[in-house]
Amino acid sequence: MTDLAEKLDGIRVHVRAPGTDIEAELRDRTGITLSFGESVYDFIDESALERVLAGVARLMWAGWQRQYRAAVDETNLNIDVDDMRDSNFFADRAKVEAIGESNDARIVITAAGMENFSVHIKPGTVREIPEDQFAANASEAATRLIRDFQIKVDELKKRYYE
Amino acid sequence: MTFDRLMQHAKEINDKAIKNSMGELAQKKGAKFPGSAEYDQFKQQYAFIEPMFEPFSRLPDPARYDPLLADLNAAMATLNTGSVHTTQLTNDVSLANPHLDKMTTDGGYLQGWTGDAAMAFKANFIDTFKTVSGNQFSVLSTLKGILQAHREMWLKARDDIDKIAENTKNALDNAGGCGKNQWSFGFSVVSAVVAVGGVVVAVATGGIVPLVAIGAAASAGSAGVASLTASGDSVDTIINSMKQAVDELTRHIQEVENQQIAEKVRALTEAVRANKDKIVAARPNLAGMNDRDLTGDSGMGRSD
Repeated sequence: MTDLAEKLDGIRVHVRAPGTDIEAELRDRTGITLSFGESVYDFIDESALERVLAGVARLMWAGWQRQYRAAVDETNLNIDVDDMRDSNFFADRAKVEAIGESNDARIVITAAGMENFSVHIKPGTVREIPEDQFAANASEAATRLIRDFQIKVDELKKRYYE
Repeated sequence: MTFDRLMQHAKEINDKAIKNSMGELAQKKGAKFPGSAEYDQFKQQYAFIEPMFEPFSRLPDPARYDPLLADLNAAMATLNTGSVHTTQLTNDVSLANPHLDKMTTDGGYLQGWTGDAAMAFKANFIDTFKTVSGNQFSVLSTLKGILQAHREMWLKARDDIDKIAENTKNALDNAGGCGKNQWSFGFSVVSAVVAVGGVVVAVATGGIVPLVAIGAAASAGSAGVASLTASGDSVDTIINSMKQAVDELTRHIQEVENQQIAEKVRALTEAVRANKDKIVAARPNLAGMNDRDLTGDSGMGRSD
């Protein structure tokens, strides 16, 4: 029998940006890979890419939440809002601002409560670095965003639940 | 039901507790990254987990009650006059034993027998036969109820400890996530045993003596199951709540066994002893009579 940890480690969220041939996949909880369709990267500008990646992040979080809930639903754990403490926790969590930046500081992703994702790409990046480098940087920034959110939520949870 | 793998689960809890503790330490600001010294320390800290579960892995197997229950059912079927009021403890006993009817339809064979013994035999044995057999049937049904209650107690206890292990594992697995982490430990053993009404010893001349019988709770998921709920992410919180749940379960099992079973069994034993005259036919005066009286009118009397 697979235990919950293995199920959560095994969650794969694959999303495709609406209207563009850009795909992303989440594996092993925090690992993100980004891939571009043929010549998509060559013809896109930074502001369009920012919008697309923010959309991808939103879809990905929603996909993770859905699969996470399905895995937890098979257990007796309770992750729902039951009382004031829970609703206050989730209200505060919605305000947690997380940030993830790539090593070269070209890509920055921010979100509040993993909603309203916003992506900032340094102008000129698409021209200056190749597609695979960009994908690696974006993945770095995304993983950092997730970790940052986790650490901050962890602090919040300690306040509420311990 | 994964009770058979309880010790495997205990080991997994131990491993996860160590792993999560190392993770917690690694995340602490300013602390140096944990190494083998810390690992050994956590290993020692959680070394109690497997021995804590070990006695539970040896809880009696409920299936071992089944042959005993089958024997009692067979004995009850033999004593079944078909006249005893049906209770939860008798409804799976097979049809009445027709051989018993012969005792009350024997009039013809004994018509030629007269004297004190003949009258006593009729009054003390034939007339009361159905009542006495019925009472024996009822007493056996209380024994069966006790076995069923005890079996149910172990069944529920196994289920409870199994779920404690499983929920602890899940709580450890879900710790460190971005949402709420809350779990509960239930104690269904508390509602394993029920009182069974309507079990009585009948008096041949009329009237009844009720017996306070027990049995297994009718179905799973009985209302009002006691439980313990906790939430949080730290290994300490999760492991402490597990420890508390195991302690409570131990206490509940002892309470159910002592108060709901052992005490009731003692009361039943006393009630049966006090009503022995209704359960066992009177000892014939012929027993121990000297030879002369035995052949006289006060003894066997004559056959015409």
